[in-house]
Amino acid sequence: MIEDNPDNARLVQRVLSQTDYRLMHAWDGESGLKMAMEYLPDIILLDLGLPDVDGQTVASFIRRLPELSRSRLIAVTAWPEETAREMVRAYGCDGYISKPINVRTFVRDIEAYLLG
Amino acid sequence: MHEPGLPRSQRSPAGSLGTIASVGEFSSADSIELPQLTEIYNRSRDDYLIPMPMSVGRLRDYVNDYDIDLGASLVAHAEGRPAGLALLGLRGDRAWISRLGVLPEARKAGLGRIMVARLIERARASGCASVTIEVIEDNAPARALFSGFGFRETRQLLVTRRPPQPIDILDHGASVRVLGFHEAMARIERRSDHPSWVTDSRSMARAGNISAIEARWDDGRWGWLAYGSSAWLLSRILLGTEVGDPKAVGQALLQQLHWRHPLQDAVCENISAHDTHWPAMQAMGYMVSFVRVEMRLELGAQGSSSH
Repeated sequence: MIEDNPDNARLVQRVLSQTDYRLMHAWDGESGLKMAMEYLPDIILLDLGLPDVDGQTVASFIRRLPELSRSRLIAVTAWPEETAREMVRAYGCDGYISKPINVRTFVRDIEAYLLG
Repeated sequence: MHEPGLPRSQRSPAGSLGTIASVGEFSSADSIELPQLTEIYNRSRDDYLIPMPMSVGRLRDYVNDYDIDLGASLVAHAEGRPAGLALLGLRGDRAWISRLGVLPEARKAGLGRIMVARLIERARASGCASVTIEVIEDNAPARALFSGFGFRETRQLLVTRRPPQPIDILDHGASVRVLGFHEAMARIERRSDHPSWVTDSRSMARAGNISAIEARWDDGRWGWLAYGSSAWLLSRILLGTEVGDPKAVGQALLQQLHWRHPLQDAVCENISAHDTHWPAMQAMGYMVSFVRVEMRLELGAQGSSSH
């Protein structure tokens, strides 16, 4: 998870703590990219509204790296649906989850992307 | 310096804001350390559709690049805690209100309205003839707030992106030169458009890392493209067609830019919806992220605003 907002990060951590998934968290795009390159996660949850290097730019870097080609890249955003769809497609994300996240469906949504 | 807000008789009743029962103290933003100012700003935007958070370093650059006067800018307080922020840029007889925001738990108490009123007065006291602001198009409450002060909507400004994608350079028959900072700024100073505050020549100069590409044809056509670049991103993209068709000249220049920087994401902020180069940008893959509405208030004689 690449997420700068503490409340949003805590919520995702709380939801995923009840599963067997191992969650790693980076607070900004640059450290998130480094973390992804080191751990080669199965799925990257990417907040589009990051400070400094924003989510779209991070996505463009992730999608350029062969070693991360198997990682599902999921944008997490409060953008309007039409804009989110367009940005997600243009920047090579595999999908998106709307903010605020729905705690009842969040794990199911992630698993749907993992199972592809 | 702390200033009282509304008179007690006009303040919101105790408890009407949940945990914040009394509001209305204001201080200059330069009385707050930058890390705290950054936190206030980011928290005031947590629930925004397009939050645009900033790091401390980014806010520092923002203040520098856009001539934000922190002494004239405001932090609102409620119950002794920071509750909102509004920044004022000053350039000669022009002022710019930016990053107005109130923490969610402190809203609906008039803090935003008070800060806008105060900043207008500060702009007038600084000798400004006008105040501008850019509001996200979908933010109806903000547009209504500023309209209430007499701001008039002047134009739409597009915030655009272009993801990196392979590009084949086409031979347009032009001689192409890459220009350093000073030559780039000389081209920018020739511009004939009416830039927004963030794309103003002064903002470009303050940003510092500006280069340009110039293309000239044998038949006399010529144009230039100025831009900033980092390892991550191309930004501050400006196009100028001096002679020729803006779409053709613009497309040739953009192809040069993206051929030279094939791996970089690109952001072009605050291009007028009627900019003659927008068709060229669209042809090169630029898309609209969101739209801002520029609003402007003419300041009349002392004690009045021109509506």
